[in-house]
Amino acid sequence: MFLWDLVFVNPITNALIILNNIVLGNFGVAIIIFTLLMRLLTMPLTVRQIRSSRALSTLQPRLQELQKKHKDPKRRQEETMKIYREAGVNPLGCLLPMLVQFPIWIALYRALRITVGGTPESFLDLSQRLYPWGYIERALPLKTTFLWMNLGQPDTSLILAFIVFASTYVQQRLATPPTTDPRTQSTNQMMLWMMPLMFAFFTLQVPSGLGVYWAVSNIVGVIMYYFVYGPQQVNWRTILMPPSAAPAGRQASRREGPPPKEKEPAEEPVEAALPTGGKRKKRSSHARSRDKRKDRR
Amino acid sequence: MLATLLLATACTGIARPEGWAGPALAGDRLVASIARGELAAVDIADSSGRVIWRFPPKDQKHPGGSKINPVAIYSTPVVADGTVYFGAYDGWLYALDLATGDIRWQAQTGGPIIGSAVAQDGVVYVGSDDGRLYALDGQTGREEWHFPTGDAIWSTPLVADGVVYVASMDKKVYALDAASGEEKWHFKADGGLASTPVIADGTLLVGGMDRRLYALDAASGQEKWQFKAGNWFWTRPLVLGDTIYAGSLDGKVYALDLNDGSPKWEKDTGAPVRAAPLLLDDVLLVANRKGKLFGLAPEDGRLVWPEPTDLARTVLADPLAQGAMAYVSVQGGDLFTVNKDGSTALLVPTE
Repeated sequence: MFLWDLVFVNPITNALIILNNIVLGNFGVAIIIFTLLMRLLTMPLTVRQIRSSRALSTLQPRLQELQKKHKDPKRRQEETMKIYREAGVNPLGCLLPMLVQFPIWIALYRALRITVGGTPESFLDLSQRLYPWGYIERALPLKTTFLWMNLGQPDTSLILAFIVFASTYVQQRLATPPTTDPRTQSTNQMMLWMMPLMFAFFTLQVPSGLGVYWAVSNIVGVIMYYFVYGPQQVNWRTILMPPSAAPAGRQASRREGPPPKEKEPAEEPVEAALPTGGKRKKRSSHARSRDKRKDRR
Repeated sequence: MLATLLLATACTGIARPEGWAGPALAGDRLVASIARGELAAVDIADSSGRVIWRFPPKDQKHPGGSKINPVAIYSTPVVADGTVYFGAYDGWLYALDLATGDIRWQAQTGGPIIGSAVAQDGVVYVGSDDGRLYALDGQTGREEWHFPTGDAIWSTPLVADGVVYVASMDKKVYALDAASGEEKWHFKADGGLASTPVIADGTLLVGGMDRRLYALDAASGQEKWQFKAGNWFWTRPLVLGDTIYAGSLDGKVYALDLNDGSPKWEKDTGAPVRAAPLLLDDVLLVANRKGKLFGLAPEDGRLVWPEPTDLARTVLADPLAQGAMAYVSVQGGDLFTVNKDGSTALLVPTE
């Protein structure tokens, strides 16, 4: 625990107080700047994640074909991995930025508990973590109010929880790579709702400073997706509409959006981010039901 | 994995105030916080530790009708004229009947009360987290005056010669007229001030979060000298003759010359010292946060006990001396007696 504090908690605690001084004593703004810095530091990983996600989507037709071709799960798995290897895609690459951020979340949570916890005990704890610099000591005690929130206490107004929920949802939709596997599809579907709900719930439990971090971090994430995908590839209406549960295979076959550039001839962007204004028009659900009826006949 | 870790994080919730009120003595009764957010009067006449009353009683209410819940008690109770005065984290100052524990009056401030109250000449002075120092009538609780500072007040005010001295987190120590609350002078330090000031030979001593112990001229507020430690000063210093004994959150207790602040000796206890040092006959008792008690020789700081006594509990409250014995409250509520030879006994266990 000592090493953890030394490497993560104490530097974050001191960094927050230094930022607080730089922004003239507004701790909320200090948290926002800290978040932006963190996102900047992890940007190469995030961009890689987004590209990885895009690359995964381009492989969907091949993977779908594979599913039809190989009934043996082991063989199918081997062939899938082969395709991933050939394309230079790591399916776990999407998780890396999140894993990297995880220690920061925990450490930030601890740092906030200490810096703006508000109790005499947390203040006492703070005294043991500060670097012995006059610049830091002069900042104390910190002003813990930001907008309508006390950053050391959970925000009970539900506003922050809603912002965290909405921003997590949008980011989650953008980040979820398409898949042909029905089980993965259903997991993705569940996670699409579970993650935002979970984060919104946590926002109601933890110091609101951490909620501010999550909200800003998500918003920055969404902006990054927007720029990496390109404005043409992101259709906000589709993103904000709740997804309908699609049967296996349909997700991958829904090719929408403008024709892909460079080496991605059959590129399919992330399902949630699909634009509807591409060359191939999206078929209405009514039309799809009509087809189904025909099939049945 | 993510869910589990986040859940674990959330389950720990926000920082919870625990309280660190020290005990107060009134005849054969000891008034102390023996559980989180509870105060009790304990019979010490026969060392049985019998609890005479406890506060708050069930279903006791504030004037507005809300249930009394002190949350936590940091304010060491003070007893005057058969009344126990103490502030609580819920922002209320309570005046209780020493004999029965019944509420005589209660007064609300705008924030948690961390420092202790001081009762002097029928007036009760108390600082609040709302940044104000309140002067209340000791009999009725009616406000006589209040003085606003720029930030929270976590220290206990000091009243001497018609002047109230109070340290504030706004980095200033104020000298106010005790009768009217008018400011006489203020001194600005480099860090927030949470420690309780003391006065000795016209010198006001106050420690701060800038790691400095300041010696000020009590009449004018002019700085005489300052001493810098390795961490904050959050203890009330003890002055014996021309020596100041002050504990610091750097884990050391410093013996300084009252005249010029030059160090005489220092003793490292290994953990932050928040509890005020005190004298048991000729032994200087110092308690650190980890519950290690040190019996030191006041003249050179050497350990006079064979080894430190370990209560193995968190000690942050100021101990109370009674001759060759001290009462030590540990966080959570247990109350110990400590003799000048280092032996200890549990007087009242937490309930």
